[in-house]
Amino acid sequence: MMVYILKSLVKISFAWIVFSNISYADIIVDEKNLDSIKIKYFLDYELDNDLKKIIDKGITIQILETIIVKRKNKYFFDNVVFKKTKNIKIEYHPLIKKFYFFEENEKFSFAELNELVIFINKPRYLTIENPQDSKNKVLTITWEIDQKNLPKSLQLSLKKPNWMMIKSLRHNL
Amino acid sequence: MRYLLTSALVISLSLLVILIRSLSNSDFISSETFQLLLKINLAFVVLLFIFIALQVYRLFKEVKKEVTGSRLTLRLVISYSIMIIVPLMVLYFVSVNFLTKSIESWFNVRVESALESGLNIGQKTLDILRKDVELKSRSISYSLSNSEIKEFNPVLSDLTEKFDIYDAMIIDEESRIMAISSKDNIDIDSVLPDEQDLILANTGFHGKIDITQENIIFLKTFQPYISIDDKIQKKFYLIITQKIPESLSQAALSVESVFEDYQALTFSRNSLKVIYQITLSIILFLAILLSISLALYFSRRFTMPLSILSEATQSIAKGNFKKKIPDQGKDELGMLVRSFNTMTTKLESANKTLELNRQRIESSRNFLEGIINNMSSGIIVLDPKSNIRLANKLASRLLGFNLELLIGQRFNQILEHGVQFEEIVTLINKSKDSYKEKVLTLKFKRRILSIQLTEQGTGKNKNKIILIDDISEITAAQRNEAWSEVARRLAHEIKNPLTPIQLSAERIDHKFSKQLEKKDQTILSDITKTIVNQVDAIKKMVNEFTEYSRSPELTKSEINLVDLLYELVNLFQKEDLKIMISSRSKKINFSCDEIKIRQVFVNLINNAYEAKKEDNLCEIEIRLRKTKNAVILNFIDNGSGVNDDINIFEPYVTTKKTGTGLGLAVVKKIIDEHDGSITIKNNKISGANVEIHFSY
Repeated sequence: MMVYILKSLVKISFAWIVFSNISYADIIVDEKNLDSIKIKYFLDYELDNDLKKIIDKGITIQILETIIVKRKNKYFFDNVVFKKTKNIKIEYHPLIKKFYFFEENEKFSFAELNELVIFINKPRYLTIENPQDSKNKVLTITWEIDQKNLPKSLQLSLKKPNWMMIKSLRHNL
Repeated sequence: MRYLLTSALVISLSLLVILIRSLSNSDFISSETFQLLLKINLAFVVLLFIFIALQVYRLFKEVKKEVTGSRLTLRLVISYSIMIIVPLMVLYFVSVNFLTKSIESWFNVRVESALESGLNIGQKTLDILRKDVELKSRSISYSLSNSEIKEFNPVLSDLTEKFDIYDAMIIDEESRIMAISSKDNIDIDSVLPDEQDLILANTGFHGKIDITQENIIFLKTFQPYISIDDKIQKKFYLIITQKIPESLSQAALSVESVFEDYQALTFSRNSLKVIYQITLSIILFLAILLSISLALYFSRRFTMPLSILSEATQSIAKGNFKKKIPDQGKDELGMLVRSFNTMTTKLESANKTLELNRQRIESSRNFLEGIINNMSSGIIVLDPKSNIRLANKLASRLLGFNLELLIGQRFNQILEHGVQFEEIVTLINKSKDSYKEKVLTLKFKRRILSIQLTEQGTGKNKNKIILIDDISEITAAQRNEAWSEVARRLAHEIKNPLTPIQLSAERIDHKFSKQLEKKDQTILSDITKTIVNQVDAIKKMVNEFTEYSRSPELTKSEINLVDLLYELVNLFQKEDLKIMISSRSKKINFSCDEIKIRQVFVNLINNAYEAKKEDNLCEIEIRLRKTKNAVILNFIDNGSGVNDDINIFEPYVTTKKTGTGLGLAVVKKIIDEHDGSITIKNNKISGANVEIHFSY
């Protein structure tokens, strides 16, 4: 029972932080069977002005994509049944005036930042292997700036900036 | 307090050192650990502030309660704090200003424009190189368009060598490689164009710059051209990859990297200022708070000996000479404390001696009081000013009032308790001259008191001692003895001739009455009767005197007093006399001389009857009771009572017209012979109450 109360408190305290970024409609389950679940998701992301300025100045941004599937427990902490993290990098070279998007050894270059954003907002696909029992599961996909990999001077902030959280998607599987 | 302060000092210094060191380490400063350290420092500042606030509040309370040394402590704390805070504040503002300006100077406009210019130079250089490669690409493609396909490879090799091209490749529309020329081993996959490149190339020309993972800048051009093969026009793409010289590439990338760092730093400009300001503020607060803590500690430490000394002085003023102050070191304060302790030791010793002397004096006084109180004489001691210094209980009892209430007052005050003391006061007042002893006899409340005045001491410190003795008993005994002697002589001298007188008178009457006429016979008879009667009366009186003077020869036997009283009451059967006997017990045995006790009771009943008011019924109540060690009898009548001023038990003292005054004197004598006591007092309404007390 204590855990339940604790969990509720944690949920309440964190709800307001992520509430504005959570979207339920941007994840679509394409295919669902016992072996795997194929998911299509859209970030539907609009670049924050501050972040845009940072990228324009040639500062490399690393993004941490975290995909978590949790089985919900009413009176205990949720079980993590699937977790995957991915490092994504956005670079701008003012010398050659090119934007680069790195994802899992793949490199994409763009002449404009808007093109890069459009590329990010394209449908993205995810396959969850061995989902086991698919009842009471929640999929959460978060895109967050990896603060530890920001330039040290940008980490010098007593308050976490708004642009740190890019997007958080949530879907009941 | 000492340990707390030391701990606070050590912790805060450690935290400060870590915080300051972390500022010089960019990896550390940017980490969450730094923020945590900042928060811990802040928390510590808050804790220290609360601690100091409590201490200051306590100090103010002490000042309000006027605790010794608190005002001095407060003054010292304020002085120390001002001495420390003012230079610290100056240092703080100078440091903040210096830091802010230093940080601002990093972002000098000239530095930024220099970096931007460097970057622009790089961009322009790359543009020039790109245009050069474009021109070369166009020239090579023109030459190739006039060549046959089979000549592509040699032509391309010649031209690339001629134009100093790094890599060149010809592909057809299906992206099939038609010719390759390279200075190095060419990575075909990396050179092959993607769909987007071909689309752009189809517009006429497409060029791009790319940077590899190894930070090498390449210029790439995609030039479409038409060539005739077997009289058929075919479209080909010339792809040229030109490597930028490594020195130029590194320099350009270096400028870009510095520019990036500078921009990143620009973003953190405000954060840096805030963090340094916060750090400096924390240092300032920690320094101020620690200084105040130290000021509090040292002020208290400095004033503590003074407080202890003051408390000890107050304690000694209250009489606690055992108070000792712990040693306070070897300085002036320590010397003062040692001197104080020596003084208290001496005072304690003197006080002990004083206490011993006081106890001795008290003991002597108690001893003297005991003697005085148990003396058979009443004693009053007057000081030279005739104030009462001392009076024993017997003196109070003899004078009839509590003399202890008059101690310290003038002796003349005793006049308020009765004019009869005037003689004593006169005796004291007149005795201003030197004398050894003066005696006064005072009759007071049926008592005869002997007042003896003596002087003790010399010069002005002469005390007067008044000795009061009750000499009533002695006087009575002397008087009894005298009366007994008188009685014996009377009995001896008078009683013997009485019988011949009586017989002679009767014989005269008998012999000469017949010889006389009747008238004379009557006269003779009356005369002889008178003689006989008077002789009887004299006999009776003589008998009483005889009885009074008789020496005590008691024949004691155990008798029941109740029976004896009832027997006597039966003898007194008179109309105007009523006797009641009250006794809880019917048998009260007492060893006594029955005849003499019977006489006592008869005398007392007779005395009560004779004291009755005229025509009144004489009522006598005889109460008889026995206690553990005494038999008590009360004869209560309703007669006229007794005169308080005379001693009714003295011989020849009577208030009756016909009494000899020996009845009650005999009673007293018999009672005395039985070792008893007798008292008489008037009742509240009327009559008297005679109480006899026989002890056994």
